[in-house]
Amino acid sequence: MSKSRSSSLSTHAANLSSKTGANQSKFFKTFGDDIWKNKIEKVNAELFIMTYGVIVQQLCQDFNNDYMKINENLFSMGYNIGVRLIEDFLARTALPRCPNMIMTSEVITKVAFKVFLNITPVVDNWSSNKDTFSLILVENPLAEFVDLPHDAKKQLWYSNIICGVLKGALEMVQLDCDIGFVSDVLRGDASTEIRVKLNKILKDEIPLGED
Amino acid sequence: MPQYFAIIGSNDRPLYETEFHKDNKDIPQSLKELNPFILHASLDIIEDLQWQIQPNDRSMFFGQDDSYNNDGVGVGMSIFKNSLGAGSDSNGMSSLTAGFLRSSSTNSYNNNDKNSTGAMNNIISSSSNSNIQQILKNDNCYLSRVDHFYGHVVTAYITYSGLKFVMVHCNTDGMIKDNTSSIEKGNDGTNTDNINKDDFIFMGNGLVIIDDNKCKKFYQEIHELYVKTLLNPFYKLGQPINDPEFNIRVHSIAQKYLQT
Repeated sequence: MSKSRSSSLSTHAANLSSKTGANQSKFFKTFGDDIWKNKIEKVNAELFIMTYGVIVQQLCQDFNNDYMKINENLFSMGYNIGVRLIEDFLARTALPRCPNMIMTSEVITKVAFKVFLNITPVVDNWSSNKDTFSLILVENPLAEFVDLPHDAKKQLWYSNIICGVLKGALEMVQLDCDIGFVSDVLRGDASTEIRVKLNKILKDEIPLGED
Repeated sequence: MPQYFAIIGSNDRPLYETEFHKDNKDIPQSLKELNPFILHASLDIIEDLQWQIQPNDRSMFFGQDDSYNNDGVGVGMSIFKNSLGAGSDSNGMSSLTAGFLRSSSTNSYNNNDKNSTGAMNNIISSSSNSNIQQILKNDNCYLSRVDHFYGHVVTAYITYSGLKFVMVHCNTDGMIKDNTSSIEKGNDGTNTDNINKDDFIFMGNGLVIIDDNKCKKFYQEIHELYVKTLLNPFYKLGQPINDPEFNIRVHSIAQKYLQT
């Protein structure tokens, strides 16, 4: 039952790619909400938050508070999650290929973030050639309760795992992107912002790691 | 009236301490130094109360006499009185509620078997119901007045992990006078320390009056705040809390409930 509905939705999505932006974004919103409500198993938020907190804290301990290395590690952990998670994501949503970065951004925010974290970041700061944009996380479930120690405030990107996940997932759909935090409320900034920059579209034929 | 507030962790290690006062009513220096000792002296009483059948009602037996200041004997007496009250009091309902950390432990009353009539059982079962509700509201954590020291009253609150929130409510009625007089004496010169101490000890007249409702709310909000601090992955359990944000929040809670 739900399978047939999702496939009809995805054909709808394919049709929609030619339609106007406003329609498209509305569609993705209801699409994401629908999957979140019906197809996702939820876990306790505190359990999730604290598990992630313990991971970061353990990294701090293991790397003797070398925050640059911790950032790298979080990123690579995220990358390894992302390359797997995209499979799960596509299996749940059956969405077609995005023709441009605008639609990619819509799918990321309204479907992917909604489905996995139940948040919808705001897309902003488009570059003129439409290949670079910012995701502004109005709320960040990973960082709930967190208060960075003083020496970490200048260096640590606490939620860097998200960037890794995005990087891994986008790479698996042939989008080679640079992704990184530019600001974080945990550091005392006004907003939490992730910058996504498209480098190039990878060629379809070459599977990852076989060049 | 000014207060001295501290969070005491395991092994009586202080995790946080602060003072609340309106700007015009500072705690006199001599008492400032004494406060940690007053507070520390009442820790044993709090630990005893933790396992007592009914810690909240202890104030019922808590007279103006100084028996609690001396040693454990006073506390032992009050346990005895409490268990007596549970068996014979016609107001048994209220005094039958189980204490902190005893949750729905009706088994704590099993040794009262000889006088457990049908009516008695009814009371127990109904009270254990209200117990659970009480515990869910963490009403039981608040111990109200646990100790006093020459007019300065000590109140306490225990969290479920055995952390103690303790507060000394300073009696300033006598203190202000004392402070100014001691300064004058200080200007005069010699031997100020002794006179100073004697002064404030005998100046205090009567106990500080505490609004239990407000006080309980204060402790409950601090408890909530502490739990939030605890959830921060960078806070190591049992370490002192140095976060300035925490400090600000504690003071704003104090302003809300304690300084009227």
